[in-house]
Amino acid sequence: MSVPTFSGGDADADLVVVGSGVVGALIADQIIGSGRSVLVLEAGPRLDRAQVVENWRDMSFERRVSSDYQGLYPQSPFATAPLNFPPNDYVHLTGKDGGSFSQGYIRAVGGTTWHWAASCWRHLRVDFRMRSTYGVGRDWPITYDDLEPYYCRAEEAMGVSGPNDPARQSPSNRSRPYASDMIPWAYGDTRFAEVVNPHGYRSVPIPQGRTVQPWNGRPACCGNNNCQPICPIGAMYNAVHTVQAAERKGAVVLAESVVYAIDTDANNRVTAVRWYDRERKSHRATGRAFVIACNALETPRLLLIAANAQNPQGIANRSDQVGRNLMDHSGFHCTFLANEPLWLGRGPAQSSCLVGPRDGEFRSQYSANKMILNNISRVGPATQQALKLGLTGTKLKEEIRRRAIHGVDLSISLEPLPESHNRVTLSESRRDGLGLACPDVHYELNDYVHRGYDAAVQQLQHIGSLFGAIEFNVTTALNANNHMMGSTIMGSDPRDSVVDRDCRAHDHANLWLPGGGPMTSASVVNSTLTMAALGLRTADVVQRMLEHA
Amino acid sequence: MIARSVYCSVIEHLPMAIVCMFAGAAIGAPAQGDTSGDAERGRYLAVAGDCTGCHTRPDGGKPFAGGYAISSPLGAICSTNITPSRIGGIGLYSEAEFVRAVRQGIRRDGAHLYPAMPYTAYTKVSDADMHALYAYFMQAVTPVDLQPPRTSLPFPFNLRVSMAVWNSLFLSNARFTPDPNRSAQWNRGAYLAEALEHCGDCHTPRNLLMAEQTSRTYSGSRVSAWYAPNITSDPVSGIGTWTRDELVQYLKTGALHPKSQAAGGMAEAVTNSLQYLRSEDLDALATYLLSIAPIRDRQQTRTDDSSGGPARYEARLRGKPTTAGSEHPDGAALYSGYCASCHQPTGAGTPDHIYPALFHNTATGSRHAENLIAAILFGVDRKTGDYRAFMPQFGADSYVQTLTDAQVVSVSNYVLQAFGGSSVRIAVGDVATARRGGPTPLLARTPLILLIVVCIIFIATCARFVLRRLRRVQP
Amino acid sequence: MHRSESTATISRRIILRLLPAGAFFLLGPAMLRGLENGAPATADADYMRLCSLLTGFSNLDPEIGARLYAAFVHLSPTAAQAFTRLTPIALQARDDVALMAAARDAGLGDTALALVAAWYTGTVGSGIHAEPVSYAEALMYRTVGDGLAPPTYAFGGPAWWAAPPPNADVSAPITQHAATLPLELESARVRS
Repeated sequence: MSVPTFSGGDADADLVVVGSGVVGALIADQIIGSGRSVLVLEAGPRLDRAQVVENWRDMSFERRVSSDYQGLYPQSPFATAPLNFPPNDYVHLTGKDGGSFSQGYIRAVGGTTWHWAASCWRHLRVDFRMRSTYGVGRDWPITYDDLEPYYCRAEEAMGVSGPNDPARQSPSNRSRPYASDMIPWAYGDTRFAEVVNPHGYRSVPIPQGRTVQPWNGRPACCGNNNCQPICPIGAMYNAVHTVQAAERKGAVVLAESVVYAIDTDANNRVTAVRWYDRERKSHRATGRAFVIACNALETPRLLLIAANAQNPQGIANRSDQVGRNLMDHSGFHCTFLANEPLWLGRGPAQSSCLVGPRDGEFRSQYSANKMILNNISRVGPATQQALKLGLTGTKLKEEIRRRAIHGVDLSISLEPLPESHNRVTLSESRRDGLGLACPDVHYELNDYVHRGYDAAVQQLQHIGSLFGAIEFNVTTALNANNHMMGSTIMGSDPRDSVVDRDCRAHDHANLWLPGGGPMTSASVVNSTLTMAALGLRTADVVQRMLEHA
Repeated sequence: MIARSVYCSVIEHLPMAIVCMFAGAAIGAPAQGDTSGDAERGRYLAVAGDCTGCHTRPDGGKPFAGGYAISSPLGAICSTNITPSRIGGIGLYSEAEFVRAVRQGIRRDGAHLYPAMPYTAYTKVSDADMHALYAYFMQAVTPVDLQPPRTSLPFPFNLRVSMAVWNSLFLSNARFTPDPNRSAQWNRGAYLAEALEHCGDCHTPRNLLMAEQTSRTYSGSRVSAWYAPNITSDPVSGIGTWTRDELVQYLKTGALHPKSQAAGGMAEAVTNSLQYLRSEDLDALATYLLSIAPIRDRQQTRTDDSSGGPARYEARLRGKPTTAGSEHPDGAALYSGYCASCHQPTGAGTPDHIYPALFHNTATGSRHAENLIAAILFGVDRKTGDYRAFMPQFGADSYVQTLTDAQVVSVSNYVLQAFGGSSVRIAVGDVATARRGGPTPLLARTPLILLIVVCIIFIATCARFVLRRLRRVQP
Repeated sequence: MHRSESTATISRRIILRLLPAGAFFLLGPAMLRGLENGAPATADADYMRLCSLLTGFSNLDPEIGARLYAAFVHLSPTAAQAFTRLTPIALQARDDVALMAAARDAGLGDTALALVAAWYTGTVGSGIHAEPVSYAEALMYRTVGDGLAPPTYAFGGPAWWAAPPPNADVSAPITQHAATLPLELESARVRS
């Protein structure tokens, strides 16, 4: 077993990983398993699950019903993450659609998979070929088939349950079945699909990072219906599990260690990163290979902050594309009361999704969409609405029950295209607790997305009519979905991309930037599984490189 | 051969051993044309004896291929490969050798087995059943050509010859004899319990030399980090208030809610063995167990499941910054954060009992808090039919959260007080002991006893040497 | 993914309206025993009757009742007197409808609704001054307790949700509330 060496507070390891979310954790676990030494530097703290669960239960009703999924997570004063209640203005948003890029992510050991719905989707084959097929966006320099084996490995590493009936898969090109079959649907999923599927909306089971049987010591999901903001029992895949597995094998994970500088040599190979500990002392970590996996906002931020004499535009940024092409699935919601009880809220948060509109010729004109049937308990909103009616006693009880069991909330995702004016840059005025520049985001969506919105609204109106919907409402302001992508975009041409097909920085032979940043097209589906697959692909390349070193 | 039998029973058991050996060999000759019937009977007997419980590694090991490191208070004992492989298994064993191993704990090569192999129980197995077992293992088990790791206990327990002395003191080389004053059902139950299921191996306390205390059978005993409770018919300390149907349900499913849920070694016994017993055998076993002479724990005044009740901490805790995750966490806050999702804020568990209630539950009401601590540290994992009862572990590398000793103490004491209605309180040392797999027995700890043991071994070795030389002198 | 919904019902404004400004603040002596000296408070039986009548639940936790009361008092200087005036109305009312009518007549309609909301949501107030008091025991969860557990708690073992839900036992929604909660239907439009 190979371990990092420490001397005088500095460290040396074969592989240095910055960021302990799902991507960093999977890479660390693989490389330590191959016998190399691994050091993981995580800016945020270690979390205590019970404390976070209790923080949620102790929150005010208003904050919970407004989905404050950030506020319950303790933060290190040196590793700020966005907060909304009240806003902490850590990320400054500009541009006409800046408001739709208000992201929630976690800077802590295990990263943002502490709070997600564990939806583990694959891109479609065509999603890798948006330019060639639909004349919009970019083509990836890799194909679905290049990534497919890594999708399988990521699913197996995360303990994903998915439908093994090809008719219910999206996509159905799979070289291996899911190790665990789909999470069973609740009544609401089944009934909703029964109603909409004859009309081509194609509700399918969402592949999820959880199982209904114990899995390698991980408890089975028992439907606490709290996936976001946190699974109380650790049944949902959480990268902290992979971090633990890596630590068990000898990886060293240092929490509250904020990387702020990257050293390069005459060949522009990365020689070291420098980090601040919780006492603000600076340390240096040297290594043979470096992975930065801090998410598609923090990774470019770090690369820009770490600009040095050799790389004045920022590390890995000769292309000036670092931070650009920023994307997230623009989202909105459709709520209504159906004319029959659906009892949503039974089971995990998201189990079925309409993927009919996920692909088609129209994608040359406007954005695809997917519509998640949110299986999140409607009791909160039902109570707000019923109280507004001035009801008391039995009438109030009945009205809450009525609205909770008939209430529907669909979460719709639209597909942005990579555009270089959508970017993260460094603030010139705002500084974080360590004096490092805070991020600014500029975001403006073009008509591709807005036309996609309009098309989706028409579909939603039709769906509402199928349920005899009343109080039918579609939000007009787009919201974020926390699926940040594109900001270290993958491409074969170093002039217009940041990383190559292995997520290796064009500019630095031993620096990899896997995760959401390299994603060249957003598709409409949650990005985590694709990020994890890219991470595992990177891990293979890094492992080979270390073997030959 | 003869030298070996001298070896295994120092003085007076020699004639008996020889007689049994030959008798066994005569009766045990395989009947012509009935080999498959024997093997099938043997399969059921192997289940009833729970051979797989030790001889199959739980983490996907091949059936009966051994390699399972069983933690004993003296160190890890690695189970052997009992598939009919000729490389690593028992493929070369004759029936007589098989019988000697199972009944007397002596390997084909003459070495002694440790009584982690419950040969003191299996010695009671009838000749016909031994024959069937042999047929099963030789004919119906797939050979696995694997040599499992060797057991190596610390000195002086690595001297297997010490078992010769121990056996002379504690192994009664006798078959089960039915009691003519009891029903056939009772006798069947007694045979199942005493010869095959070897219940006493866990539930009977042990003496200083780690043999079962025959005067205190079934009155409860520590088993590594767990506690196998008193299952005598005492109405206060034992299971005297249980009906036969309740006991059968517990044995078959591993649970009788809310009283008791099998965990640790009992979960393994249910998963591997008891759930597969025929219903008439379960009835028989229950009949027998409910007749065990009552033994009262004098400090006990009420049954383990009759105290406690639901608790309410929500009103006190909610809306204030939690102490869970802090240096000095409130036990209720830890319970709320780690346990209440499944066991519910009131401790009532879920209506379907999948997550059991924590009150009127022997795990929280017992004077022995070991099972509560062990359940938290090691979890519960029990499979019956298609159903898998599972509580995650909160020890190292927990998927929920790895708890410190102090946290385990805090949450356990809250559970004991709030739900168990118990005055028992645990301390950090109890948790540390549980993590180590239970307390170290006196036998392993005290130098004086070690010295005595070494002397006995020395004497035994000399005696063997002398006897062998005497034998050589004779023609 | 991120979602947003409208803010909670009970605003600070409503709490401040519980009594006209300048009203003399009097802590009803019987209302809350032990509040003054910081000892654990228990709620007065009359106040609990008020709460039961308004909420429609008879088995309310007095400890929660006391904490809710204390939160109201903490958030508004006029709360105590408002409850003092409201309680006798409850003793005279035969049901919640009559109680609300009488309360509105006395200018205490908003007080009563605030109290209902606090019991049902478990929180008093909103914004950064909101005081959460109960979570699992918030009455809103009891309305669907036969088919749903409050989030973070399991309703049963793994895959419990695959079983059919209970009977609705309420009628389907109708558009009777259209006047209060207008339909919002966004027609398709292209943004520039």
